Amino acid sequence: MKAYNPPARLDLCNTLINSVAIPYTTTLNPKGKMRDWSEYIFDPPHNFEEKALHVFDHQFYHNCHFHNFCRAMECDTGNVNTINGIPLLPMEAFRDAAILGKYVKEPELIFKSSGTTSMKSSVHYVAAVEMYRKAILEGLMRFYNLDDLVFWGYVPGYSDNPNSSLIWMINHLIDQDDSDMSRFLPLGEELDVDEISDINDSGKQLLIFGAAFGFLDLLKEKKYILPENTIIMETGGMKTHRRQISREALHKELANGYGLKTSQIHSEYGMTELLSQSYATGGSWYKTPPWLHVTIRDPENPMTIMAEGEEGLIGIIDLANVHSCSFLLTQDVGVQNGEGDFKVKGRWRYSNLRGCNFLVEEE
Amino acid sequence: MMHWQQQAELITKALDVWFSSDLLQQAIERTVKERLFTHHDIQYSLDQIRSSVTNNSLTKWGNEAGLDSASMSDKTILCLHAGNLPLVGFQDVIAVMLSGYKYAGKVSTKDPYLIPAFLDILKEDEVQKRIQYNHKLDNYKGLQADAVMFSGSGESIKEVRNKIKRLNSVSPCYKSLIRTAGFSMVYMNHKDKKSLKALAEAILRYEGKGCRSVAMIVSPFKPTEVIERLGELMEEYWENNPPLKTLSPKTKYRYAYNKALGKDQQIFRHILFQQDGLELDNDDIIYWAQGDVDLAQKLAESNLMRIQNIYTVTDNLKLLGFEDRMAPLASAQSPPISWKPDGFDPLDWLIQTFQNE
Repeated sequence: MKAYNPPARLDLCNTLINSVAIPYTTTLNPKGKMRDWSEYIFDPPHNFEEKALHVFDHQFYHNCHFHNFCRAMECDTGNVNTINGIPLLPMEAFRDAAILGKYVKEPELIFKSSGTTSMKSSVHYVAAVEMYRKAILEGLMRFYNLDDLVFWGYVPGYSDNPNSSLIWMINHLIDQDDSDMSRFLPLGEELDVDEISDINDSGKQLLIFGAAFGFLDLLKEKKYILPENTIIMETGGMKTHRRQISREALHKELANGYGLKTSQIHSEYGMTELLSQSYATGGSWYKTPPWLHVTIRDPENPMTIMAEGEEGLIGIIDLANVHSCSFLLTQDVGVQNGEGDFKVKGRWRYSNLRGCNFLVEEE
Repeated sequence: MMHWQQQAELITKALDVWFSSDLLQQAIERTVKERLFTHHDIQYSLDQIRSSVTNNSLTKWGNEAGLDSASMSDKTILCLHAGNLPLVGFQDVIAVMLSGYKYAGKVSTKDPYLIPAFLDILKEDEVQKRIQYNHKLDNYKGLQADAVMFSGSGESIKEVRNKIKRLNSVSPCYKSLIRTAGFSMVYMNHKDKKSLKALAEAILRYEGKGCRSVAMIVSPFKPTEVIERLGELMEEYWENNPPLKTLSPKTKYRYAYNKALGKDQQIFRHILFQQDGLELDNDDIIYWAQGDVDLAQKLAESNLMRIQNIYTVTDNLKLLGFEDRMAPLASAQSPPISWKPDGFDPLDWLIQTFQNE
């Protein structure tokens, strides 16, 4: 019987576990040296490739699941010399297992995705809350002036999920604002236009976070004319209970409904499995913070990077995930431009298993 | 219009000529040379047609479909053939021929020679002026067909509909027969050599392509009780029928993922057996679900639109609501000409659709 047998190697995973209780912002690197990850990851002088390879070394030795995945892909710290050689773990791993460094004794946060009863939720065990705080604030600061912003959150779909990472993020943004004007909005109530005027009069800029369908639902009762510098930040959720809507159409509808230019309708790309976020600040191209790197991967061979403009699966290296897994393959379809910005084109669907399929593109 | 039984005779005569023709030999050689299909899969498909398309079987099919009492009119049927396995659209060709309607075929770029070789022989008969085929759909601009028959899924169906409308290849009120099933399932409650050999054939024939191929196994046995024996029989199959495929990067990726998560799996050459998961996103993965008939029933129901057949190795097994999709495992790759893809007999559909027009 000719079975496929990957090369047998010593499973180092269980032999290299740090048993010393230490803060998770600081862990041992594979050479036994202490490293303050929260400084290193967000520290501009180090280039991304160098940091990513360090994180790869770290996770290869300390994350059992990632270690076994790399071994089966015949990749290890000896033969991976570039970030493109690092295999990306399918993101559903967060649904199937606890993905975190073996040295993590007790995670400081646990995030869960909201799923239907028939679906298992993804769970992200966050070892160091400081990493998430930094990823949120330092990430947002790349695109906005935090001192000017008042944050509102309108998140009807997420309010039933006490472990939502989105809620945690918005809550953190509200907490760090000392104007006392940031808050979560009560569900099902109209926007308070007087309060919006007060924010505007104070010289601050209002940024409202929320799921796409939530913003649309608010428009059922009435339309608004918000101050022109207001930013509506939709966080996804294009498939409403009413219909599926494209991002472009959604942005137009939101701009019309809230009396804003479409350039004021922004998008955030983030998920339970990632500690960092990307932002589209007007338009549909997302920009990433410097510690997050996106590539578009061939669905038939995720080790292959697609050329600029070609569709494929969105692959992400999020260094803020240093204590879980930074090298991840999503099930989202995307394209990338020459600047490294990316567009999300929906969920990947492989609906033609085996069966006959007449395809127009083969014509 | 010619009587359908005369039509059946012409078809079987044309088949005889086709089987021994240089045209077919050349078509086979080109197909193999271009690595579209293996020689053994083409030969298997031809043997299937030879044994299943006879005067008797066509007469029986025509009678059962009610061709005798049908009032046939002048209709054009556009057949868009897939190309995932050799001669996959052959049943549709024969159904349209028997019905007496005009056949307009769009031949697949993935199987471009085999069906045309047969159609060229049919066309030699003056009576068969109603046959036309093309390799490009654009050539059917303005055809205004009365019906279209094809197989597809999700987005591809929408795209095809848009294109044939844009080209005016179909009339404004055209009828359509679209098949969407993607794979078959087996309930494996025996592990004797004969059953396992049939399973190997049902998995591997046509490189695992086609909706009659087994992608999901439900069995009261643990995979470890069966898999080694099955692997040996698969290897035996490959010795006699060397595959074109090798281990794909996508399957290797899934193997690595399963390994990372500690999932039960076994890989033989390019075929991966995995317990549960049921992602159904890879033609080279066979999903093993350990359980009883109730689990088979549940999985059949949850994959209602995608399952073609449910095979069994015992006669007395029935899944509620799936009676007409049950078939013996040994027949997985050898259906009769009158079989019903997605539950539709194409000949019966053609007759019923235009019965009162």
